[in-house]
Amino acid sequence: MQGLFDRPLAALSAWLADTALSHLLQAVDWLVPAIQTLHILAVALVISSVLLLSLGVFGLHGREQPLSRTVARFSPGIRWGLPALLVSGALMIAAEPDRALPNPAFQIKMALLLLATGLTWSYARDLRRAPATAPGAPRSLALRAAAAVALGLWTAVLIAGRWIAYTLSR
Amino acid sequence: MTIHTLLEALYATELAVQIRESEFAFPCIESVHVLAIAVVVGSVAVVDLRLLGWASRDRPVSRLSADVLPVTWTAFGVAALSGFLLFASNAPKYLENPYFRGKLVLLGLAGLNMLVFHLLVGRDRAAWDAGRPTPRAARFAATLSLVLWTLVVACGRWIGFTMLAGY
Repeated sequence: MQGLFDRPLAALSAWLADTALSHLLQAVDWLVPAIQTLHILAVALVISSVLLLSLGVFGLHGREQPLSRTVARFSPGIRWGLPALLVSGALMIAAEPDRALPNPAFQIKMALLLLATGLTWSYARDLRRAPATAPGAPRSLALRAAAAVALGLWTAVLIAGRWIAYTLSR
Repeated sequence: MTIHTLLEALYATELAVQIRESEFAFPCIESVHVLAIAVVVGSVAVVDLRLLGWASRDRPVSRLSADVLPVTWTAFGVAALSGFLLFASNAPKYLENPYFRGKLVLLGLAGLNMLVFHLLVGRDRAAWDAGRPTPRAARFAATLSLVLWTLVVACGRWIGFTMLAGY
């Protein structure tokens, strides 16, 4: 599979590296760390919102309210954080396309990100659509499992992100 | 015993040698550190945004704090421990780094801000706990907290770039 994408990825990488945006990001030496800082702040918002949402699903807080309230409380952090992640992440790719695109840690991260977003979106949607869930009602095993797996996937996304720095293809 | 002999002793410990020389130890500990910091900063921001009246307005500040702060403190413990291990791997060089020193100072200021908020602003919390807007002093403390934690993260990132471990 990897071989199939090698050439188009290399071409995309070479094209990106020669854009005016990439040149600018490379020329001003504080821009990349500043964008990485914004990226980590967006990561903080998303991972904390996902964690607090999961803890609510596990029944560790907010038990006296319907679960839909917990979802409503913590999904804005995911909804606002994700676009910030994508924009800051795209800028980091534009700055150093060779650091990211061909990097296995980056590719794994993107696959995990799709799974994490999909699973979180789908279980949160189900919870919003079931406003009748009474306060303190037992959370189904399937729901708790979905929340736990989603939290694990987001954690894996973060860790894969950090490993991009250590798996550069030189 | 001066601070430098202490740092040199730390540098020479078996633990520091292991972290410094292993290919995997540093990035593993660093991943844990970033995860923990993300949870600290994000969960603090949840409370700050409530104090500013931008989010979680349907939940009293005291209830939201009780939901969130155990998460914050647990993550802070993990961040401090993993941070110490990263520091131990090359203690003398980290202490020379201006961004490392800046990060410690900013962490102290963030803690001080929290303490002042709890002791002074939070004293009459019962009066505005479930209401909005929150008092001006609470909103000031929340803004200051968001600024300080943003700078803590920035310093952490600049340490990576100036130490050239992994960036």
